[in-house]
Amino acid sequence: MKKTFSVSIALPGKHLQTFEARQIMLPSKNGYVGFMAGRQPLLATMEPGLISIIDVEDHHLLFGTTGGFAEMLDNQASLLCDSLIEVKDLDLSDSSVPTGKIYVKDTSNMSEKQKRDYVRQLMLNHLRKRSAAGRAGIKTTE
Amino acid sequence: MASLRDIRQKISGVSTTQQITSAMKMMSTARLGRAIEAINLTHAYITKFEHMVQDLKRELPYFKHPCMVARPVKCSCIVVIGGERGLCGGFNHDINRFAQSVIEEHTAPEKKIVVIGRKAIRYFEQRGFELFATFPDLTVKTLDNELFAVSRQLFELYNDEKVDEIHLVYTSFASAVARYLTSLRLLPIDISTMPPKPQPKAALPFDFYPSPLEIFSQLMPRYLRNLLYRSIVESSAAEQSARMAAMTSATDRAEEIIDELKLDLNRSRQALITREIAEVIAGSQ
Repeated sequence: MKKTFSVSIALPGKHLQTFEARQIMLPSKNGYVGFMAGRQPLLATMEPGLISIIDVEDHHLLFGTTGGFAEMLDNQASLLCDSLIEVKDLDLSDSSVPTGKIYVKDTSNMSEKQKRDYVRQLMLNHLRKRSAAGRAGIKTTE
Repeated sequence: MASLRDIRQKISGVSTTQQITSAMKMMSTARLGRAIEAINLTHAYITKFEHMVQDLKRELPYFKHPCMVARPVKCSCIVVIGGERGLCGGFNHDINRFAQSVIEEHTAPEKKIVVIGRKAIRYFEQRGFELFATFPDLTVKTLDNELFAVSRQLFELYNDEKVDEIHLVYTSFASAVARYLTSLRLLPIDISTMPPKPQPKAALPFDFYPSPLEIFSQLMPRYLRNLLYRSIVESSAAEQSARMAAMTSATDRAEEIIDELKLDLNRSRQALITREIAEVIAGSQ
């Protein structure tokens, strides 16, 4: 069986991004859900959080989303995001974002801006932790 | 016959107007290009959305969400997407007249009219229509910030049964020279009108996180938002193409007028020279 699957990330009014991936992890309603090639068909909502993709060359791709939907069918994952934050959009030296554990918040009553700030904070924390642990950097998209 | 000075002034005036129309034509051409790109990008997103709705429906054929079920119509909501500005030929006139006819043809006892676009708002206000909501500043530039709030408002109206159906009236964009006046029903949605999706290879049942009802309840406001987004972008592209055509013909007409005036100028100048020569000859004799 094929060990990779294609992932396409669509945003309203933006170019479609497509990757060939080994593994993907998404922020669902009941916590993060991960899946690999050959998964049973899935339709899920995405909550504000991190999308983590391991591509065919074992590079780690990281995105932040404020919500959306994910579908896995016929070894193709389609992610329809409300908005997408990429690593290249972040300022890693931004000291205004606090470090430390972020407790899971109820995001249902947040405005779109608050969701974006929350996701940005999650991403910065994740990147700082990776950096502190001496792990390989995140591959950024062109 | 007009004096040479008058004709020169007229040529200068028409030439200035021609410069303005030519600049407007170039601006609308650039904006049209951007709008066409936005339409193409939105098309891919909406197609994926429609595929998701179809997968959900195929997987659960007996599943009924309030957004799919038609109910007796006591109140109808009509959303009109009109033009933002003038100088675009018959664009504003066509969409406003069409929207008026759609509103008048609706037989629902109560109608809620929502209008987007300054020109359309002014048209309906001048004719004494009672407007439920107006969005004069909802342009392509401000779409991201405001559109989610507008679509959520519309969805809540439908969900709270304050309206029983939502219709959309707008100008759809086919090409730089073709646009169509379109009226479509947004809610309740009709899945049979969506472009068909090929049958999936997998025969396994779907996993839903969370329940299908919750997925569909979250899917619908976004679907509504994206349909509105596409319609606004298409309407904007159609307006720009209409403006481009209007400005092209205005520029061409200005060129013709300048040619005619130059002919008049030369004729007047020649007549003046001929008269002066005749006077000199008469004086010498």
